Amino acid sequence: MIEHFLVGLALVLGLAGGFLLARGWHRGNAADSGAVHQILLPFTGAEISRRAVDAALRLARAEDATLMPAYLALVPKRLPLECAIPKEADRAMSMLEAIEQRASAQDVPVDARIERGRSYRHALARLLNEETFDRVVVSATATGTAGFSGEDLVWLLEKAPAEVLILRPGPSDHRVVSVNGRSPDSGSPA
Amino acid sequence: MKPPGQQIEGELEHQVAALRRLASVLGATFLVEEHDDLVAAVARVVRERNSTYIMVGESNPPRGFARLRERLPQRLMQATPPGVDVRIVAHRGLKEEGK
Repeated sequence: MIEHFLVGLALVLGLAGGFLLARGWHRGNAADSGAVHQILLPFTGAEISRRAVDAALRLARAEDATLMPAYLALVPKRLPLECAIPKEADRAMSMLEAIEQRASAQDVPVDARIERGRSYRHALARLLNEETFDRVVVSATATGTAGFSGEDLVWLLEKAPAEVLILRPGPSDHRVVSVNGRSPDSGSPA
Repeated sequence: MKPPGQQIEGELEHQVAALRRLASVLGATFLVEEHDDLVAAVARVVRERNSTYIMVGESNPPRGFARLRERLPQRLMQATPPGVDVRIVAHRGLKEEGK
């Protein structure tokens, strides 16, 4: 009888030890993999192509990466570059919130940024200088009145120290993630 | 908040720099306080700056003997002057998981 008890106890202890070891190993690996991958998603204005956001999220999920949406804000030359920009920040926060909600639904971690510059390219250059990332996903369409010009995209291809994925949604694809939180075509929350 | 003598370096330095830039964009003041006791340090800053609002992130669930200890929001409420709000910002990802 005592032998059965000892065998059972050894079995339980073995299983518990194995479980703890496996859990520690898994956590270690998760911490290691989470530390390296960042996918930058720079954007301007009050809306961003939903296709670009979804592509960045798919990549982030597939590669176990963190999405870094970055709002590029223009600072007029009459103001210091490092000055506070509450109105722009308010708009940026709304956009970043909309993207974060979308990312959260897909279990993608988000580390958002707001970068200032005299032009979008200048803001992008500052961002490239300050942050490290493995991929850049950018929308080629200038949605609304703001956006990247073709020259900005060529500049990004030349300067970005990472893989660059430029997405150009089809002419009929007007789906966006926007400040007002709704997509114009589907009526579903963005 | 950091323990006295601890260096801010590596990934932490990067995150602190990003927070500092964000504070600058928002027009907020970014402080790095050295103290061994988080609650005491927060209470001191609140008194010095006449703050009326404290926002903290969601804590990890306590383990072991930490379960017996009073939770951070309660300790902040007790350590700060009357009239100071303490607000806990939930982790949105955890909210999605709980659905």
